[in-house]
Amino acid sequence: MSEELWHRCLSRLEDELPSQQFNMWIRPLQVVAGSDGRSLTLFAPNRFVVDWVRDKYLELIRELMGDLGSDGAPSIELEVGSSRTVTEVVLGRPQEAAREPTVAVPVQVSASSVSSEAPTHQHRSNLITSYNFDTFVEGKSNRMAFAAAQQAAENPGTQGYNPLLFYGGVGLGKTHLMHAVGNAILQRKPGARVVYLHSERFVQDMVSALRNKTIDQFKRFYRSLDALLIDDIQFFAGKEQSQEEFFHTFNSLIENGQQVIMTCDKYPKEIVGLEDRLKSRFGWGLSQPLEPPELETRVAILKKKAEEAKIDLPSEAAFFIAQRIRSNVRELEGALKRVIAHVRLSGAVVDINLVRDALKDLLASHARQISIDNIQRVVAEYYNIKLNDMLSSRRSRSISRPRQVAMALAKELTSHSYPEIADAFGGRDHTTIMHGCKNIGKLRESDADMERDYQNLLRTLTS
Amino acid sequence: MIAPAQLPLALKLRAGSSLSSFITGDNTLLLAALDELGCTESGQLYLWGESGSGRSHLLEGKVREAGGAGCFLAAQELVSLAPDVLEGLEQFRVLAIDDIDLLAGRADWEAALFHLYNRLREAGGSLLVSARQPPGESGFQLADLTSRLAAGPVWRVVPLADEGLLELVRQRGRGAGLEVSDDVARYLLARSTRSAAAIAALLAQLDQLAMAHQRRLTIPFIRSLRLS
Repeated sequence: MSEELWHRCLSRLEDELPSQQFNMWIRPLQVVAGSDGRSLTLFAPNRFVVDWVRDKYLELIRELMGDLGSDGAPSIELEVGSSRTVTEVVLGRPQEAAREPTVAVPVQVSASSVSSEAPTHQHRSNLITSYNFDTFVEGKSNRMAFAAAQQAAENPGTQGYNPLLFYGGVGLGKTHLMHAVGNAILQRKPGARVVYLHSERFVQDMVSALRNKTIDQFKRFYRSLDALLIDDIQFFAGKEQSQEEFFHTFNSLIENGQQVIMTCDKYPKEIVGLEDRLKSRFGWGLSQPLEPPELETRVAILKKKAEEAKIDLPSEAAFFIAQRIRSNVRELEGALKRVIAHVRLSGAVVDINLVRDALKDLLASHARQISIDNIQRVVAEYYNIKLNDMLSSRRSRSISRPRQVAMALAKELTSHSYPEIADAFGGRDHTTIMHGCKNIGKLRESDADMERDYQNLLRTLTS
Repeated sequence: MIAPAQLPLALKLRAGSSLSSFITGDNTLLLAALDELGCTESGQLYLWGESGSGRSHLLEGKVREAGGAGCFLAAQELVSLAPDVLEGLEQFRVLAIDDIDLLAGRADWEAALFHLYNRLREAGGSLLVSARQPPGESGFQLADLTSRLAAGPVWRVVPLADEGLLELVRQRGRGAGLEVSDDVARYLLARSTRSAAAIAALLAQLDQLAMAHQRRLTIPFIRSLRLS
């Protein structure tokens, strides 16, 4: 009865409140009616929402329910949690079945889930089965990391690979490789206790364990794993207590020959706010960088992903995308997903025109971000020369070489013509730009420093 | 000019922001993509477009469709709150965040959004966000967050052309109980900012005035109001 009354009350609230307020604060409330038919509990996702609703809307809710009910308003409790979790706990169903495997983390049905119940522990590995070695595209930019991952998967806990750390920019496949090791370990030894988690989850679980006085259980659990895979350790920065706990967990695992794999967005020594002793220990095993993939690898990734999606992506179309999306694999896949959505939803065949159409907004956005002005500014900063020198007629090599690099980058990264680029470089003749581009092309082949500088600039401009 | 009349209490024009009431225009594929969101695990969609293009309508519509499994957050309301408000939101199957770019540049919010994204994916939920610009231009400083927002399909909400806007005027009029003839719709469109939000605001104003003056919505009546 109370639930039905709540739904009538919801309709009234929807009429009375501005839609944004209703959608944000009222719609997410989940109701569970008391068995007495005279009370109900409204569950909100967190303490903040509970307090907000109590302050701003509870009186109105009570008033409306009093008006709508035949014998006054039922008693209303507001709590943190979810009616679904309540149902699941009652029915004894697992909280989650999103991932396939098996053994693992103590998922605390957090304090937020059922406030009146003590936390319970269930286990899952959190591994994404599609992130395996077969679906990882190997290339020059990740070959060493790939080889190290395979080694760790074959002989987990081996000294030279423990801990194994993958570091590098966003979207380059660090997490994929980490899952691939975990999946391979489980494949070889199905009962192995392998757990993947994000560093933030480790922090949250620790906080929950402290709050619920289950910290010993927490410690025992993490220290008993065969392999702990922990993502984005840079998020430990500035969290001293979590670092302390992780330090001891880490030591225990390494000392007992259990595998630890970590990822980080930079070389750990560069993380500000991470204790020195952790930085030092993270370097005990093997640290492998992942670089942005080169063109051939980007094409191979697109082909593979298209194949997985059962889409026939012609090479011409794959090159078109790969030449334009350079920064990282995640964005590359995002672009491909957009193409796939167009194909699937429109029923059209993939060709270069469809790709152009599907990506036109994305490419326009890139073009806006990579303007000739921006290229000139970034190159001037890189070589520590004045921005005005990009446009000047000074011919000393320390000025003219960076200027030519900027011309070559403008030609490669924008769709401007030679005359347009010439205009942007102080109204030069377009043949000067052609000469500059050609010169830089030759130098990149003969001079390793020039090639390195050019790649660094490409990365800066496209990330 | 008609003499001032007593205005009735402000009555809201309810847009009835369901997906079925969204006028499609050139957004057919976008709507199909939106329709599929939430059907599989861990989907995501990023919608961008200018103000008044209907982004909020689409997000609210999708959340409404998801019923109790959906949650809608307006960043405009979030900006004055603490990021703690995002805790536990991974329990929803469809989570929508409107104007997410309003939170860009605030390190605590960006980190909280990044962690929510990860938790939501882990829980198998789907994320729907809207912004004025595509991910790379939204001004987020946390590269991890930008790249994740760009990891799924990104769609521009294409503003309605004339035919769509006319339909919008008629539809919003009907919703407010106003009879809007084709001539009146064209007349209004020629004098309104060409966005759904502006049209809705104009109709709300006309609704009140028509009621106050006890008049039908005709061109002479609208002309007499000399609306700015």
